[in-house]
Amino acid sequence: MEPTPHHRFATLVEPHLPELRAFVDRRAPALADDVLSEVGVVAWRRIDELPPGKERAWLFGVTRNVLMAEHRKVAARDSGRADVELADLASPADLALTPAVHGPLAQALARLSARDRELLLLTAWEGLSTAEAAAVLDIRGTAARMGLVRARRRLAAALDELDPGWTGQPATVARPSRSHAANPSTPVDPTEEVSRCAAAER
Amino acid sequence: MRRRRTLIDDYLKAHDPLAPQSAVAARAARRPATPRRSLLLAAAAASLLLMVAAALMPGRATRGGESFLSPEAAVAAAAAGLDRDGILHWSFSASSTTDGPLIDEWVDLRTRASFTTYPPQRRSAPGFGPTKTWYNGQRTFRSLFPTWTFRAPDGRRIVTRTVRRRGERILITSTPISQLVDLLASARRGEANLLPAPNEGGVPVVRVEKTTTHEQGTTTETTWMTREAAPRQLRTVNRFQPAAGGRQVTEVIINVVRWDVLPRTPENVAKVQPPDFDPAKFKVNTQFQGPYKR
Repeated sequence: MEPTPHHRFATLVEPHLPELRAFVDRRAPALADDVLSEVGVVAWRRIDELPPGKERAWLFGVTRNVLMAEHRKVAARDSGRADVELADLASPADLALTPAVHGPLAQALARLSARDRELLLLTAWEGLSTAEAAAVLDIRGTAARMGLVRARRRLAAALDELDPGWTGQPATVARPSRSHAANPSTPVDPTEEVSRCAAAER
Repeated sequence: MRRRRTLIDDYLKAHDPLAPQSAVAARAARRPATPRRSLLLAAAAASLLLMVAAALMPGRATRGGESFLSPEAAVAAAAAGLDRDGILHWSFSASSTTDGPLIDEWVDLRTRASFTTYPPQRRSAPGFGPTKTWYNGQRTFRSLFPTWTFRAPDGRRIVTRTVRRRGERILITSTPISQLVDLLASARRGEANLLPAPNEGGVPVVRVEKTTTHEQGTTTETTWMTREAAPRQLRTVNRFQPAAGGRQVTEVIINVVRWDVLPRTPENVAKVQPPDFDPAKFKVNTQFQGPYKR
């Protein structure tokens, strides 16, 4: 017997609500109630269309889009304009910078591109796999893996400069990758590192 | 040596705004726990839930104009409508046409059966035909019935939203419907205050003054709108000039009034209620015209 929409909602959507709320709380806590209620609406309306096995990434994608839409509405109200173009707005990754992250990390994250920053935070904070983060951002898995490698490398470089003790080790201790450590004069090949990361994830 | 990937991820996790030591996490911890079945489509079984009764506010607006009751007024009307038989009618002005209410929905709290009635002149049109026409397709059910947000006596924020699915109307609320009904009943008895939760989105806080110039001169109407509705009104105002009785709309002035959470005093209630709204005079439509089917 085919499960009812109510049952599908309870089994496929509700278990993810806490982490979806955390996702919004990290970026725009004041909007959390509204965003979550809207995500519930979208999920309920499209309960029959949830991609099997990929519900989590789908829900995060919806939440991300709703968050941007809510943010746009708030910006429209605050600005007194009838509407605000999407391009005027920060992405959720930018939102993440404003209220909650301070100090060297905020500065270091600001040096990344919005997409790389979002990739990094989706995997580190939300615990999404690379494939899930790619689905959320609607990019290819390879691009997501490349972006993550790039983001980590750049963030590490920025933190080396901004927060020398960020590893908890003496600042003089280098933290290159293995191949880089073997021959520091050789630049790190992102594709090589992607392959290693992919193998590690497997 | 730990790999850079691990180091970076550990560093980010240590600076997670929701990490236990962070201020954001502390705020989240203070927030009352949301019931697991929040958002929740108590609704879901289509036979459930609520109703939204739209009512006409005589003499209050014109075709093309639009008015919404404030949350206070909506609560007052809903509370007033919780009659002896346990039938709740939730009411607010969803449209301001002079030819009848758009929708009447009822829910029988005893049986959870819900009924929807539509005025005859609207029934033949799919969805909200005439309304859609006026607004050139821009208006949707959601914008007519936007999110309503209340602050429960215990400080919890209640977000309600009505949606349609396959022709059925359901209410999605951030609190179980039974609690919402209890709160409404408490408000009716004067035991609880349901206050709008301002500055957090979702409550009508916009007062619109519409100045219309026509052959006889200039008139100014003041009406209440949701914050969501006001920009749309601005955008669409020129589109329904032909429907405005031939009048030429020349100017729209939006005055935004930002609300604070006010104690439930008569004076404050009067502030958020349209001046001509009297819950005691709210008409109950007893003419049942059958459930709406798309």
